Amino acid sequence: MGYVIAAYAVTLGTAAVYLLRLARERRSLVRELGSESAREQPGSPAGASPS
Amino acid sequence: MNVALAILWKDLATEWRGRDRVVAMAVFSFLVVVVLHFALPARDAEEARRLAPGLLWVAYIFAAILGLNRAFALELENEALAGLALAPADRGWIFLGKAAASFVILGAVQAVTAVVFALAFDVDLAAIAPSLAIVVALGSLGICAVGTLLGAVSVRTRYREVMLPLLMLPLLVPVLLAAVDATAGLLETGTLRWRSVQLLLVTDAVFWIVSFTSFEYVLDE
Amino acid sequence: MTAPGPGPSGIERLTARLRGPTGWLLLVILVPWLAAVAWAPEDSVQGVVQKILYVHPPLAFAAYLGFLLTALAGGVFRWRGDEAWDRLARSSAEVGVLFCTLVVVTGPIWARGTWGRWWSWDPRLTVTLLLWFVYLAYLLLRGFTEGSERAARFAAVYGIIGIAVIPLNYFAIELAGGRAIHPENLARGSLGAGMGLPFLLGTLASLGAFVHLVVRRVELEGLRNRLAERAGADGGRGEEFGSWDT
Repeated sequence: MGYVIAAYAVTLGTAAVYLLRLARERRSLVRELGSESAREQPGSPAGASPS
Repeated sequence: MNVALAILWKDLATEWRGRDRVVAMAVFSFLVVVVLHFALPARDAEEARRLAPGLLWVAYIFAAILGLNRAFALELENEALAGLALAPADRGWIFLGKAAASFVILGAVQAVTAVVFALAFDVDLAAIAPSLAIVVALGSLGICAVGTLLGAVSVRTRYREVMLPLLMLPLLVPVLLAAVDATAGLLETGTLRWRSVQLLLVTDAVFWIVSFTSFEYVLDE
Repeated sequence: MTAPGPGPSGIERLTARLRGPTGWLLLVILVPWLAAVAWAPEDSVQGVVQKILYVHPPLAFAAYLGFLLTALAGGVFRWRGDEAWDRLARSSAEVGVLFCTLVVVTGPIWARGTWGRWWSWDPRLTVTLLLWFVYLAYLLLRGFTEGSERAARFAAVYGIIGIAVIPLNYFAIELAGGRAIHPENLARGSLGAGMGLPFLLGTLASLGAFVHLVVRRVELEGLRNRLAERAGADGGRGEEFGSWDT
């Protein structure tokens, strides 16, 4: 029984950790892209708004 | 065709003048043979014959990695790789020339190593020399095809000396197993085992076709 | 510059569309799968260890799919030159290595319980192990090559050889006398009564997880790429800002 639990725990745990890492990196990239695009149009009111 | 011959001639002439690659490879493979002899001492002739094929091919593959690492290092140092790529000739011919040069140089090292090996492990290789030469040549063909392609790749990566064996060794398993099996067959019965020679031929064909067609793709524009 | 304009290319649109459905599939299937595994009858010969069968082969299917996809996407990149295909190849290799690692970990756990030892040089085990090495080398090659275009070309070539070498490895290991002791469950149709459902759910879960992770990984590569492009374009304009302000 221990072997079975170990096999499933390793599989699900590793997949979950990988998924979380992907999600976290995505969030930080989206944030970076967002701030970049806000700075990108200097003429537009959105870009000029105080942040 | 002329391009291939010119590159073959250039590489061999450079090697003949300096002889540094051959010497380094030969000394290294002698060392491997000696180290293996101490690491796996054969107690009697029977055991020596059982161990010999694997140990011989380990020495050959290590020597080949050393040599193939140098094959493109020279081109990189004097920026001839860019020149090679700019040459109007079909890049497949460049591949043939480089691979043929590596094949000749490796062959010379293998011949000397075989003599040292026969002495160190007390295995009679002279009796089977012609058939053994065929097996060694078939094995080297596969090694040089993959090694020339991946040598051109690894020379332009970081840690290039480490990268080549990492890339090459997992691909060389069929060559190694078939060559070891054929060599073992020769030592046991004195005749070529068709099954392993067949696998060597098929592997060589696959490696040469893939490497020949891919080579133009790994040189920079 | 082969960039297909600012709009996402076909392969990116496709992966974006797959993201939601595969995620939902995973969420929905996970609990029924584990429940089916728990309720599946115990194997009369192997005992409870046999239940690893509901996760190990499905992971292997996904890993093989990953390596096949890496080679195919690399081949298409080589042919068409669209870097989106290279991003797919890279993502698929990374997720494939992850799945293959899990295959190589869960396999020995099962083997320890059934054969009594962790490893055997069976052809299928050995070929999988070699495949794992090849694709680890693939990822290392990408990591150690400077310039994304060059890394993509190198990787495409290596991925294709990596696939071409599989049948050769198989013949070679049989030649060297690797005894085949890996079970041929599927070929024999030896899944007993009540074992089909957890196996099917496991396969769906594994393939769903594979596609979902690859899709997320491709998305990440796309975002990184866009950020790099914008940084390149922004770098020039950023200096103009400076002079404007003062």
